[in-house]
Amino acid sequence: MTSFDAIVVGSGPAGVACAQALPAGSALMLDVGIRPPEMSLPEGNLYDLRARGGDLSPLLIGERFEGLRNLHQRPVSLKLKSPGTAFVIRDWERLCPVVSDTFEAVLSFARGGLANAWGAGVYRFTRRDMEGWPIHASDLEPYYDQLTAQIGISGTSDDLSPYFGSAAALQPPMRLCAFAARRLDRYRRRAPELRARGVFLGRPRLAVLTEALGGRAPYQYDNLEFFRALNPAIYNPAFTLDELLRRNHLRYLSQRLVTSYREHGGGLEVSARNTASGEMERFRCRRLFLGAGALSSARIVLESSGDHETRLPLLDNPMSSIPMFDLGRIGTALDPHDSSLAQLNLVYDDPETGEIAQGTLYGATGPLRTDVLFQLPLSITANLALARHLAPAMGLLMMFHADRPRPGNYLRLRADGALEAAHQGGSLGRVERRLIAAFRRLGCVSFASLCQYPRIGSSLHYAGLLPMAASPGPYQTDPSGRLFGTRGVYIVDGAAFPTLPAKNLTFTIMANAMRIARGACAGDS
Amino acid sequence: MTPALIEDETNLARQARRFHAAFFAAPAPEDLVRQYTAASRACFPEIEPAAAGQLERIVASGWDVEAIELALRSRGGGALLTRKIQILFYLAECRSAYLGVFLSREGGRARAAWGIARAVLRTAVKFIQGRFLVWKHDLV
Repeated sequence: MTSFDAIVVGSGPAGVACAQALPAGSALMLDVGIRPPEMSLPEGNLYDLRARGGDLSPLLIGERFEGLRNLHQRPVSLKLKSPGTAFVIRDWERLCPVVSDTFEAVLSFARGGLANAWGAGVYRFTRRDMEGWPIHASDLEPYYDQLTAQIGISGTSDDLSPYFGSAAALQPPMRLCAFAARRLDRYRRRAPELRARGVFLGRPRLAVLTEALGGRAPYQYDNLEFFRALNPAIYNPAFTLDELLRRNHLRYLSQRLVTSYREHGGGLEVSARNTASGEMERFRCRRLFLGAGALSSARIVLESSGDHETRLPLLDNPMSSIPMFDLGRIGTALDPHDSSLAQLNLVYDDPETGEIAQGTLYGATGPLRTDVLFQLPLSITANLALARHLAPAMGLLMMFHADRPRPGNYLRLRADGALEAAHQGGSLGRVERRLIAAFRRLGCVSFASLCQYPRIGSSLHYAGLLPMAASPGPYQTDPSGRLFGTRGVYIVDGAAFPTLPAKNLTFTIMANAMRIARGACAGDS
Repeated sequence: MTPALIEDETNLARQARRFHAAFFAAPAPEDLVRQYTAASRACFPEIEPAAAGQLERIVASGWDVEAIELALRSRGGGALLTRKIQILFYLAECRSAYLGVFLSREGGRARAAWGIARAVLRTAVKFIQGRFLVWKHDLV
């Protein structure tokens, strides 16, 4: 059995950030590592391709009709069902089943993890976001800075800077669609009034290049985010993994599903199932970094303890989506060169409760019309007319709300090996009604009855299962990321977050994974 | 328990042609019919006999498919009919010939306002027609 100084589990944001911070040549990464399909993508923008002629169903729907899966299977995000993106969630229900009546879990065993289909929002956690954590926002700053330079982040300094942190070294922001540009313009004219109501609007921070960086080309506004992964302009942890492998920084074994670990003597023995052969394999190491994704990492820890009773605290951002209509834009032509990435961000800093909710405004050009046509209330051809005329006048505000541990929201490993999850979601609606009122000042109409509240779990921001604590107990980690009761097991993904602010956690997962890896190896030399 | 049915190719092709005529007011291209048949088989390899029977009746009759679909959808029924129509729409939307049906690349506020107003009126008419057809033919 070969022995390694460190084993990193998972190739998502946590795993690759951790791996790159470990000393070169010291680590082995174990990963299921499902790869994207070989697809030859025609060059060009989605709408130009569609206009150019022919049938794009192999690209948009797939030869095996993968893009129609929501018609006959449990529905998944529109971003995860196209032939070019379906690999992101392939086999997860077989590899790590989750049973729940209330929690809409989605896991990834793809090379690069769920970040193959992410919205690329990268937000620093602030002091307010990390209240009650045993580490400080300043502990993460050097890693945020390093990642900003390395992966390339577009954005700017504006009203959202107090919530998003330093704007140093950002690339210029992305071009706005006309709908979003009008909102930002109106916001600037009415900013004092809106700020007083707790509403702040600005440009998103996106891990999307607007300028070339390290051999990666800038974003081309091809609007293909719903149909392809691995766009070089949009950061993907698989890029870092490729780079680390090119530099022989670490060894990588795919098709390995880590199931458990066992500490003995001065080291660890890690068990993994070879997903190709079904054989169990064992690896030795001094330190184990679990970055498999919060639910998967928790499963490994519980399995290693043989614990089928303990309920770990489960966090996820409750979500809502609010369609907004700019009546002045009805009848304008659709700009085919938009992007389906985030256009604007909004922060609602509740003047009454002090709670922060964060939203992202999207245009309506990304998904296929048929994805939404049949959810509209009119007859089919009337819905078609509605979609045709309203799309340029429409934006979708996706709101995220904070989450903290609550009794009844838990994850448990059942004796049959499945995870059991329960989460009561959030009590939403008040903030949404206020935002609808605020958006009237920005020239948009919407109604509370049009708001949708996706089931809890849909944000895919899973956290809180093995939280950091100043004085940790069982199934908690200390501030250095080390799991209570172990000598060398570190939790480097979202499982270690004690609370979940209302923002995408990926950037902080990466920064924290680097911090933990550096700290763990600091004494070695 | 009644065994599930496998729809035959002729029935599936008939569905494609009927839906296409109803929603795109033109004969369906044969390669689209073939695609619909394969996609239907992939999505619904087996269907309940009762749902299959109702679908066959709707397709074989001259009844207004759009009106029936709306009436059934508004009552939380007719899921198979809606999904079958959706298959055809997905496949059509991928084709450049249908681009203008799905997207408006030319402006025109008056045209848009008229289009939306007509859509609302059309829905009202279809809804009444559909409710009548559903009642008359005992559809669920």
